[in-house]
Amino acid sequence: MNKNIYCAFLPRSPFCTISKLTLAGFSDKLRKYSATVILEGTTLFRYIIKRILMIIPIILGVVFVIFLLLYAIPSGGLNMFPSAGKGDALDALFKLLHAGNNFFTKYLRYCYNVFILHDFGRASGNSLKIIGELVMRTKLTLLLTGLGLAATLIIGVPIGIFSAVHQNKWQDNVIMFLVTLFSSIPNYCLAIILCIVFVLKLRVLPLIGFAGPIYFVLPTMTLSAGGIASVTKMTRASMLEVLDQQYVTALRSKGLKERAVVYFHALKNALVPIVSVLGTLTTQMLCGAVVVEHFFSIPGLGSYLLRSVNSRDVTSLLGCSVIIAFMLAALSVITDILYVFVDPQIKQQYTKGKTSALRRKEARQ
Amino acid sequence: MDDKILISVENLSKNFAVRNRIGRKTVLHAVDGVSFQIARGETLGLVGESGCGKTTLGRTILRLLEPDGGRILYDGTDITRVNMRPYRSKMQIIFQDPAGSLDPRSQICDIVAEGLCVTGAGLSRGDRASKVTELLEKVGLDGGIARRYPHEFSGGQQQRIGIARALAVNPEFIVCDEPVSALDVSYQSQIITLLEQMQENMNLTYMFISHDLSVVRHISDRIGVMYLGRIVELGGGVEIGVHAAHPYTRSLLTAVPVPDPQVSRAREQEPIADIQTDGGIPSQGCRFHASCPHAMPVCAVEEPQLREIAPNHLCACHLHAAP
Amino acid sequence: MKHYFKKRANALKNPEPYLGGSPWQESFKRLLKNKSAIAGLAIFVLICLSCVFAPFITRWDYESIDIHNVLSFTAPGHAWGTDKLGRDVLARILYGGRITLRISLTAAAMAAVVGTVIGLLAGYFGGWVDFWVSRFMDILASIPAFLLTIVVETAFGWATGKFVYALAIAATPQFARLMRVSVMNIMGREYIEASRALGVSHFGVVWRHVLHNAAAPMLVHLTTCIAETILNCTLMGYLGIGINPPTPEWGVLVAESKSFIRANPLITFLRCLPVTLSVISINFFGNGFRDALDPRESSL
Repeated sequence: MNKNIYCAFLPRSPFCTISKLTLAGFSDKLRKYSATVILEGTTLFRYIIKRILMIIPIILGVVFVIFLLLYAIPSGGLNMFPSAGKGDALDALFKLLHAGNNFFTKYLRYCYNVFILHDFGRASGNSLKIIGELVMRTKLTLLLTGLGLAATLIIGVPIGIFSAVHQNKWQDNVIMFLVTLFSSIPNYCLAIILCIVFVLKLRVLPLIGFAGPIYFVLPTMTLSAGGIASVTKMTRASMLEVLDQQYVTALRSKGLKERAVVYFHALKNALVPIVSVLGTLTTQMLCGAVVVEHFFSIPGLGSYLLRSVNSRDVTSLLGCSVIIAFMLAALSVITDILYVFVDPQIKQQYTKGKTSALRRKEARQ
Repeated sequence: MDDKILISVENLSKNFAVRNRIGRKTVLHAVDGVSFQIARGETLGLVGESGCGKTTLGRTILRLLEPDGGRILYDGTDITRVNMRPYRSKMQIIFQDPAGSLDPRSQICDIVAEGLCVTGAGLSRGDRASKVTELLEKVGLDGGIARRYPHEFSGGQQQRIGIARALAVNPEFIVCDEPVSALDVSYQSQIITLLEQMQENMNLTYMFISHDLSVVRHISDRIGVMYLGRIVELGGGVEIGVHAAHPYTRSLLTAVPVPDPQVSRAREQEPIADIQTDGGIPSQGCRFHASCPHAMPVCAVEEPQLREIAPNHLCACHLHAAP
Repeated sequence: MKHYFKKRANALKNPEPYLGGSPWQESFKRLLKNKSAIAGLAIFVLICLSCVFAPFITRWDYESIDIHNVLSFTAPGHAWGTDKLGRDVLARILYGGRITLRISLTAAAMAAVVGTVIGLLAGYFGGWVDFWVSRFMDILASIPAFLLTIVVETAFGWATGKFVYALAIAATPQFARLMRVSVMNIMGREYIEASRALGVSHFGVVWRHVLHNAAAPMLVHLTTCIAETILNCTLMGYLGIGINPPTPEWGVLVAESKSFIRANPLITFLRCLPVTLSVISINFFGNGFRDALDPRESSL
């Protein structure tokens, strides 16, 4: 199968360019891998491509919902958006269909502008196109979110394992109390408390600025606290579930060292559900980033979103929403694909005949 | 039409659209062109391995699943497309999983009286309570348990409650969907005896579904053997149990232990089918030919039809084709 | 290893005690035994009551200004001090709680009712209704609640009355999806088939079996949802979206206090307390509640 077949179907746009580059770069490796796993040709490869293409309807849907909500504004929030372009293909189509200046033509025009012409429109009040600022701010937010995610996983997973190994002892109780505490404190309160402790009392960390990595410590701490709590809880729960399984008992009865049982055999299986919470975790991070950027005056996507809301700038608001939706959709795709590689049960679906198993399942229902 | 026939099924089929994780759609023929009749007061046993469509068949007859083809006649009336409301009280079902078939958040009296609320609209609250007590005593339970909850009972007791619920509406026909498979052996015989008693007292007609041939032989007047959505052999208890004609039935029979060493030794001579159902339904030919020890070239090409090979004995196999 | 066997032995020695009564009564008895859950509930109820009976707790009005005591922590008569305009902090927190809690609880209740009905219809009838409804809910759910609130907020105009709807709309899809999944799960059970075989009507099946059995996960989600809505509501107040500064909403109070964080960090810290405390108490109660309703999961 030619990898370019898939690339050829994708239109030219920044999002598609990303997917195209990804496909071109990874398709060889991917195909090799899938060939080793799969007996039936490239089923997995096809699944992945399909899953990547699924991003498109999701984002179109999100834009549609937001457009619909803005349409409901009594003062007419969509006045900002024209349905006519500069005489391109879509204009010709509208002319052919005698489509007027209504909700759907505006929606289609916006989608066309964003996804094909990569033009997010101009902010109200000034004539600058917002795309440049969006890209710049997205990079910063991605950096912040990435840092938060990394901190979350690096700290959360070991604590969760520790807690599971010491189930119902005092260590576990303390950790679980802290977990509930940190998952309940609002981001902005945590930021204030951290600020009081580290900036005003201890005077070890700077609050605002961009002079080096140290300036990212407080934002990352604020951002990852809630995530660490949920990852710890998740790791603990899935670890305990795995440790209770009979195959683990079998390993123990074989005389394997407890260390090997916990850190190799059990952990391998306990990590599978954690992959599935990556999606919700990142959503949490992105929302947290809004607060953190606001509090620490970081010029990221979140503070831009707030500015656009405060100045009732619908174009920028929509632009931010599209980018956030794209990031989340892309992430859910990555999670799904990771899941296929991590979970042997799903992997098996692509390799074995499934008729009889499904048949049995149906018959039981 | 013969008036002794209570249930008549003609060419019934039920398909499922199955979608796997990758999103590919396939059609699964769970029941594929099945025809048979059940006389009033009779028990028809239905055996086959799990996943062969027997449960689906039972539910399709009750219209709990909508059939995709064929006809179902109840007492001579076509009920394939009609509103089932008036027929619901006449046809009942007893389930395999006694715990799962009772609502965990309902009291026993509510579970048993549920049917009474539908049919006996005229009953007062007190009448209903006394009817529930009567039903519970009928199935061998203490009438005082009415205010308790399903999870407080053992599997056998739960199954009795399920039977009481089915009997509450005075049905004529009951589909017993593996009613004893989930129970301990000691409870199995009790439940079977109870079902037989009820049949005698209330003149019930049963369709008894099970994967266990020995249980089915014990209770049934006639037995049907299902394989991958089709009935491959249908006959009286003796015909199936002793003179089994279809290679699949014979291989099922080898799984039933017999106390007579001569018979069991004779059985060892019989080639045993290596049953594989993972490949799904073959696109043509007999469904069993891939696993059949007696497969002939014709088996891979032509699907055998159910035909009478002896009085009261039908079989779908090329080995027994009419000369 | 030793620990593992000890755990097993303990589990065998103390099996889950049978408490008698209906599943609901059993859950309730289990809940009463859970100290942290009861403590959480007590604290939250206490917070709610003190907000309701605010006039009996403090004699100050949330708007009246005490010009002699500005930004002081030790002003006579002011239990929690005053802010930079000389308004009583405790009064503002208590009266603010009325606003925050009323908005959040109303929004959560609306989301619960609407989401449950949508999920019930989608899960029970299936088919194309389910397809389109669940696609729409998936899309709504894929927009973070925070962003959705902002967009709805912008769309409806900024007023407290409409702010409730924004929060409710943001919380609805989660309810709908959860309800749909539990309904579909229940619909696969044999007791539903038994009811249908008895000829019970759709309404009867839904009322008698589906709602009763789906209630437990929905109630658990309601507690989570209340906590999340309080967080969301105060966050909006903090960011100044929807609720504006003169209103003593909890989030607004925190945002106000940021300006004197250097002068008096303690006041700032105190203003973080009510939100944090109420969310923590709800979460503790919610955890205990979930364990009480589903003992199998809690044994993990």
